Amino acid sequence: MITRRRILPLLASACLTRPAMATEERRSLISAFTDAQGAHWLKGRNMEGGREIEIPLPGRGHGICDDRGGRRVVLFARRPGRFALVLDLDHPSAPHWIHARPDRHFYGHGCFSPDGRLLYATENDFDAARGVIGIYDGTQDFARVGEWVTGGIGPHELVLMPDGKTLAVANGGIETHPDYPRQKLNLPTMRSSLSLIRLHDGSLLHQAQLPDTYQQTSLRHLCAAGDGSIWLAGQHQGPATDPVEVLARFSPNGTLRPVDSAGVSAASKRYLGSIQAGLDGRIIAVTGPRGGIAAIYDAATQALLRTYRIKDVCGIAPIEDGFLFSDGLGRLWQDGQRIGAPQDGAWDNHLALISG
Amino acid sequence: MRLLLILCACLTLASWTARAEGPDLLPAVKRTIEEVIRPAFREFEAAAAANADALTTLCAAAEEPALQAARDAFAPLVVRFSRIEPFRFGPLQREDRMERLFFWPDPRGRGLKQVQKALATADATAATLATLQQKSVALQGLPALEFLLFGTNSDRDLTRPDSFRCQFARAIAQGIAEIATQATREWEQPDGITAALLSPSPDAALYRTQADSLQELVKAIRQSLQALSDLKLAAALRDDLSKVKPKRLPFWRSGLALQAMTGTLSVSAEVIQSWRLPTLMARNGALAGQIDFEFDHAVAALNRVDTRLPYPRTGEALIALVSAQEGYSNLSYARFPVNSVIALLSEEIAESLGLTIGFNALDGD
Repeated sequence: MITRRRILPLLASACLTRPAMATEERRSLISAFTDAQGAHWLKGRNMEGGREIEIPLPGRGHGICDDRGGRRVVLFARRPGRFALVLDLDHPSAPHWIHARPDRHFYGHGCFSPDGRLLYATENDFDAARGVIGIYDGTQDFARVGEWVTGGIGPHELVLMPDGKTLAVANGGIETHPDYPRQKLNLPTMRSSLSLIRLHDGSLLHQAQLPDTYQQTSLRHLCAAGDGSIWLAGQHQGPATDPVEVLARFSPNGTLRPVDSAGVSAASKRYLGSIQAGLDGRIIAVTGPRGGIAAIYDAATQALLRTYRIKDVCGIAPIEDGFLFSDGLGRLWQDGQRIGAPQDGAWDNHLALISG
Repeated sequence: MRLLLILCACLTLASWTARAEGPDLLPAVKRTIEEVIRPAFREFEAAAAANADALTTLCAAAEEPALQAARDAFAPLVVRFSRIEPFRFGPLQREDRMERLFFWPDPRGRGLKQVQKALATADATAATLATLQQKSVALQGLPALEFLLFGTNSDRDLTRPDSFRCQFARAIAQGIAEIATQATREWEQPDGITAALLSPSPDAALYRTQADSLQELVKAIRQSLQALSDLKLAAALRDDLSKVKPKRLPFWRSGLALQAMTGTLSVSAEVIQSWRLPTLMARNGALAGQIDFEFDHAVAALNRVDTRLPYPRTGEALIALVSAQEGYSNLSYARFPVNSVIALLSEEIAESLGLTIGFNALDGD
């Protein structure tokens, strides 16, 4: 078991120093990073040899996924970026680049199929103003072999459900167009949704929305809890004074409902940046960079268990007895405790601890 | 006298307690509200009312002088709007007011298509305020009104008796006037947005520190200038003269595009002036002058093109000027001082005053 006591000294010398987990499986901590000069990087620590991985990126990076037990990691460009970087952790000096189709751009997240062969990425079909999932074949140098519609606009994070047969996609609902990068074009009519997509053929199994009072709440990030529910973290586009929750839960019986966040929605200024389930699937962590708050919930009872005050916190990675967090001041945290020396720059939105 | 001294000491202590590090920022925020934002909204409200009156007159008269008067009344409306355009937070963020006033950018041209469809079908629900407000926001604002007043067949349609086009335009003008009144009233109220900005507290929904309050203003001006430089100018000018797309400039059709940008630049300069930077940043006394210098150059470059437009202004004349080398060069040049102000806001003012926005707290992802 990795305890804080064991992780602390390991991360102390350099921010991403590999914990000397002699008996544990190999792990790598991976994140996008922007240094003090404004240059963008993939940063990681191959925990085997302790050698730090630093790969320059052509723009800001965003989400990270791995191929489930293999050694490949993919980091996607931040929207509306057009690159994705495939990294073999055993050969980090030879990254492979995926380029988006000219009429698509990435939204920043993806995940692999259960066998680690196919990569699914959320993308914008901006001419048609619809969200799609681009499918890339890892056995063919990640050639794009197809796409499915997500049933919504602005798909952001997608995850493979524990059944290994279903993709869950958070359609943020916000329309954008590369002619006006990052401008929100449809706030008065936006509608966010959760889509469940059958992995076998890409068919839309189920779609759920929050009640009408949540018309301007954009569900962006999601994770699967151990009980089969899906937890979603939102970003409200209306005034932060609107009395809406930005945390939601899709129950296995098919209903999507706001979660009583016990004040965290307000404390976060109704803007959550990331959400992750604990390794046992029984606790859920969310971060609110605008409010400088991280919060842990019980997945079964939906009760707020604890909060941490961390300025500009966003990235989350589950570990055995809690979570690692990263912030925009170059710092890493284990739960509420700083670990290691800060890096000179900013950890970008997401953090991943990859086993392999 | 002694009482006064004690009172002063208490006030000083109170402001020191409120912000242990750095200067008291709230007086700057208060001045911006009182000296710039509230007057700008009042002027917008007056221009919107005058514009609605001009449309009412036009619909009754249905003749050329009234049409010209309505078009003349549209110009101050656009300029006054451009002076409230940076203040998208607070009252304009409620009830989709900003989108209802200004549905832009619209890369798919949805607004124009919807207006043309309503015209073609003489959609009666677009011709009264109550029913128009239930329709798409793209039909309710300044771009839609601009097309009705200046677009294809406007001369013909607007001088006919019982013109549907005129009634549609009048409903839009009334809706704009209503939003202007609502937003102005909310800015004038002592509670609401003003209280939120001037009374930051740790548990507040919007502003928790003095830095949060001033940061909202810095962010508003910076985003507005960024949009002006990148989304308005650069998107139209593109790589070089051969690729210019003047119709991407908002308000090109009325020939008011450059005046609108000048309005936004002017109000942005006034906001920064209202902060009295030398009192906030004693060690950087030259900064205020440098910022004014940059704004002056940007406005002058736009004016060099705008003053060559004929009266009455036309979209065609504007397109011709922007598509010629001299006009193109002036507009290209205008981006440089605007970008300088953006850099000074981000690097000098925000950093010196501790207003930097967290990396992860920035625009949503």
